[in-house]
Amino acid sequence: MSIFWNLGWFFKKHWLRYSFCVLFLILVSLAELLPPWIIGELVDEVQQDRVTFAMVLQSSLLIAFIGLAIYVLRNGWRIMLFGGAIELGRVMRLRLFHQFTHMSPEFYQRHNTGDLMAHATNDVKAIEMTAAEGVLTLVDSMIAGSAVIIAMILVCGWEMTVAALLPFPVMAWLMFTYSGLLHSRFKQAQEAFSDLNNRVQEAVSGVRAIRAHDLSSAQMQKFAHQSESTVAANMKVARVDAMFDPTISICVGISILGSMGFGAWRINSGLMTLGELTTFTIYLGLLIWPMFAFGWLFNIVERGNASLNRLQSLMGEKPGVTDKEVKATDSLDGDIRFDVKHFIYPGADKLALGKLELNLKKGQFIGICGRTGCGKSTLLRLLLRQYDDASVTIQINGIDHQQFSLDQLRSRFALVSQEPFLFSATIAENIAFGKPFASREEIERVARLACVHDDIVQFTEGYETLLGEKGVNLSGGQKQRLTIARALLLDAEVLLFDDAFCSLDMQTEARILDNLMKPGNTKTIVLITQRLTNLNRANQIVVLDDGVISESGSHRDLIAENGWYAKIFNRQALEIKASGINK
Amino acid sequence: MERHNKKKQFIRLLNYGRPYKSKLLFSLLLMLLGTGASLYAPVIMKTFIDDHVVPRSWDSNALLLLAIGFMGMSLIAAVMSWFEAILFQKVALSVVHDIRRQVFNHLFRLPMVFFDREPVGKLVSRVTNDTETVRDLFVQALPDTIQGVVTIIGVIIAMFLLDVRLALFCLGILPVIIGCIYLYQKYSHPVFHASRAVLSDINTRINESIQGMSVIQVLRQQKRVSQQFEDTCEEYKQIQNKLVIINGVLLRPMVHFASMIALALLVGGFTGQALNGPVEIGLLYAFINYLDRMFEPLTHITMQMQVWQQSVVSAERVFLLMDEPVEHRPEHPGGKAIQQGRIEFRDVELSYDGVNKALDGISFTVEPGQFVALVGHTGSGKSSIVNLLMRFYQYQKGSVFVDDQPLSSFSEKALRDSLGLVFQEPFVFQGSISENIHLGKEEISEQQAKEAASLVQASGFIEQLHDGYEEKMGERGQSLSSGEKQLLSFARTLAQDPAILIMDEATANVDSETELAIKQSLFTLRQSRTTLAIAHRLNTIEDADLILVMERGKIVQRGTHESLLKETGLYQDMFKAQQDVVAEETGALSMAG
Repeated sequence: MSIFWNLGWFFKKHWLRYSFCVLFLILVSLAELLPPWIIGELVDEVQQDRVTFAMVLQSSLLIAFIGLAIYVLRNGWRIMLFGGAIELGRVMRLRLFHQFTHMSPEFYQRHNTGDLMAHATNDVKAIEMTAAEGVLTLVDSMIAGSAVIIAMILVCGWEMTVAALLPFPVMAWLMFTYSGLLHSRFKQAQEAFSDLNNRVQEAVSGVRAIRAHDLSSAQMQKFAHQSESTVAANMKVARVDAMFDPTISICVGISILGSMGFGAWRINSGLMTLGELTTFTIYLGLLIWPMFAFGWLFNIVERGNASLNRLQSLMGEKPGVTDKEVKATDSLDGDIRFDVKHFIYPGADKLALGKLELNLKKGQFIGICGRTGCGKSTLLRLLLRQYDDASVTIQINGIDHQQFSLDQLRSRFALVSQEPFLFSATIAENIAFGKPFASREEIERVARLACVHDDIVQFTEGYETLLGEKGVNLSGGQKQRLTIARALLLDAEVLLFDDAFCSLDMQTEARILDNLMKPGNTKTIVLITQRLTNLNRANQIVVLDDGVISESGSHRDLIAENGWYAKIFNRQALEIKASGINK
Repeated sequence: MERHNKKKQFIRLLNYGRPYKSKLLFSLLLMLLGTGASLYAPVIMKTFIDDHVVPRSWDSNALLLLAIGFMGMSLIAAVMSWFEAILFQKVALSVVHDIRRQVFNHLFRLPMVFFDREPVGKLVSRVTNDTETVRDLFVQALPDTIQGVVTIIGVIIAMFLLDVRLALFCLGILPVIIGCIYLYQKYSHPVFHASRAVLSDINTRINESIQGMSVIQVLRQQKRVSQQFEDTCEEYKQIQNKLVIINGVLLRPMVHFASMIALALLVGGFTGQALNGPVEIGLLYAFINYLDRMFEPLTHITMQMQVWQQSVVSAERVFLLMDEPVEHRPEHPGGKAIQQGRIEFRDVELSYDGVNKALDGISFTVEPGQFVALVGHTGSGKSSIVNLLMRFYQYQKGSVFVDDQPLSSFSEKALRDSLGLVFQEPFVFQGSISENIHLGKEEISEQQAKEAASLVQASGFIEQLHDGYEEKMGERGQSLSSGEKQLLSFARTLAQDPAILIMDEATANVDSETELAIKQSLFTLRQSRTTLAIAHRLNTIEDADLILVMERGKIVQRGTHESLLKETGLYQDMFKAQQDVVAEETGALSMAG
């Protein structure tokens, strides 16, 4: 029940809503006790032949009026209760989203997208359910249940009540057991379904390999097998699910039989009237739901608890990088100095960077290259403070970059990453993502700079073309150029390209670089790349190997050095020239 | 038209139950018996009240009989309902299993072009999520609705059998309820629709924000994105609240209210009769009992309408995929195997879109045991030749022969067993390393798999893995480097021992050690078999028996490395380019020196 305690802040905040809700629920429980009593009284009148027309009319109208009252009250508590749960869901979603926006990349490496999505959907839903049905089952099983039992005792005495209710504890216990079983089996069924999903995912993405190795029938067999497992898991759910109704009908049957038998004996002994017995048996029917609710309650609470714990641990995580004491508001314009003692990614055991000093001069074009995993991108991640580390000092214009606010720092850089990420929005909205109020002229200007304007106007909807699942699919190169345009629109002082030209051909890369390096350019350009052929125009080239600088200097220096750079440059030049002539 | 189509889809969906007709009929029979028994129990109680309690006649034999009868009916009802539910669920799940298998198996009969066109996620969703929605129909909506209808009809019949006048009195409220349900359907449908759309919008936003958070942060748009998310959540809240109101005003509390009115009518009607003469109290008991049972299914059925509508929409999507035309594939059960490994292309033409020619007048021969290389820039048609040979695509003109037989005359199995294709980006299946080498083929033993791995120098990295050959590969072998994947796929191909090796040279950068291993393994692989290779680096094909130089879908030059060098043309240009670059760099060196 600790979940109600943990959600206490919410109930407190909406105390009025919940007070009314509980009040309405109690009133409904009480109102429902009246019609059976009226009917019982009437039965006795009929039996004693004392019934009058006025009585008939009065009783009928009273029942109808109680029905109306219940209708209104029920709508009342539904709006209060479900409305509250909906509000709680909204608040949880917003909090979670807020948390997501504050987390650094390290967080997203530890949690995969699927898990985070599951938190934002299933866990929020489970908590919503606890706030709605959890409260409902709690109130109904406790208050409505007791109200009915008290009414039974008042009408027919405790002996009769005890005799009739003998099967009910057994029923409540069975309901509780079934719902526990149902929950765990349902989870197994969901896991089986998720395995099925993985199998299909693999089969579809590997369809070529499957055809090439003639594995179709093996895949079909595996799928059939997996599908059978989901059938089996679902059958296990069905076996428990099918137990509820029969159990209720047998238990209630025994109870009715018992109360009828005992009641008949009491009527015969003059201890009770037929009307009272009638009232009593209708009350028995009213007890089924509270028993059922009692069984559900524990499971809902258990589920809600697990979900709330997961969400709380997620929301309790502190962002890896925060604004330190922000002192400097000076200009961020100027040289960038890296002074790295060493750097290890959180949770990793291998050095990402070793001892390294590097100076990026303002307005220059700096190329950084090296093998995959040599630490090139790490430099940019540190510069943008996606990670903070005490052994890493980066100075901008002579000031430690941790002294700037994150917002201020990042406003000076425009990063284009290797994997182009675009949003489900129009092309124009995607380009203007970092500067939402940019004019169409500005957007088109950067699109031209990034050599993507001609591609965009090819689409029938031009800049208004929708991207993403419901929109068109762009080629890798088009996506990459759009992200370049998006970065250019920021008009930041430093452009950071993290292997951002890998899906483009040489010529396009060269054209974009030409556009950027027009005379009068004051921007610093940092280009991380696997392809060295455009680096000959760089002011400075740095080669990283295993996290340290292995070569550094101008293109000519490095060719003369005849090391890794010279070797790779020559090999690539060969290939490119060969295919260049080919065209 | 729309409605007509929906109906057609629905009938097609129900047709999947045909193989289980006898089971379905049996479960319906059980349902009728169970419902009958449960509706008969109140009649026994009525007899007890009217014949024994009211006249105070306590004949113990008769009482015992009634008690046994009552419990018997309850038991029969319980047992029948349990068996009926289980049986129906079994059939329902089998039906979904059948649909799933059919649509999944259909995927493998589709032409490869189909997969170029359709995104993976969409296809996966058809096979799993859409069939899951169909499942909801069969295991939930259908049985609930049938049970509900049977119960309602049963109650009505029972009421009329007991007392026609009272029955008419109580059931007078039915048209009002039906009216409310109609209104509910009318008003809830568009709101439900909107709610699903907004929820999917919320999920898309969360998903996209999680994946693109670093972009959002670098572009400093956290506030704006949060604000947009908040707006969507607010919209969702409004819609949800609206649904609560519609549900309350028109459905659950409304049906309860209607049942209270029916109760008021019953009480009025019954006691009204009592004004005129004697009445049976037991009758009132039975009627109250019946009223209780009649209204619950009404709410249930109404709630299921949503499931019905959604599942028909999903079924439509599944059927659309099932109706995709399959590729014509020759099947020769006793088909011959490829033994020599001779390949011949005669004047082959291929177009993917029917307009542009991807291949044009391609003719060449690869003699058994030869090594033939394809060179040319991206889009020149090298991959198309491989795709044709693998029968991934169908050419429009010309002919392709393998071992002097038309390519189409080989069975799928013979073809796949004899053509070993090494992909540029090898696909790693979920399962152990060892399974990834023998691919579950019986003719390859674990021992052979290991030998193949060591021959292609893959055993080195495999043995360093924690579980060696039994190491489980996660999704697409993410734990392996691209070089390791390459070696693994070599081992796979060598274990298969194909007559013809087809390979698409990898372009990924690998470290020099792996590169050496790959080179040596390739040499091992090429021994004693025909090889057709797409080459990206010229230095790997110097020993080729034949080099085909491709440009814009045509073979522009052919010969050996030596002979091509003597000819003026593309290959020589390429070679000259090499020398130019070397000269340029030597110049740079001397200048620097």
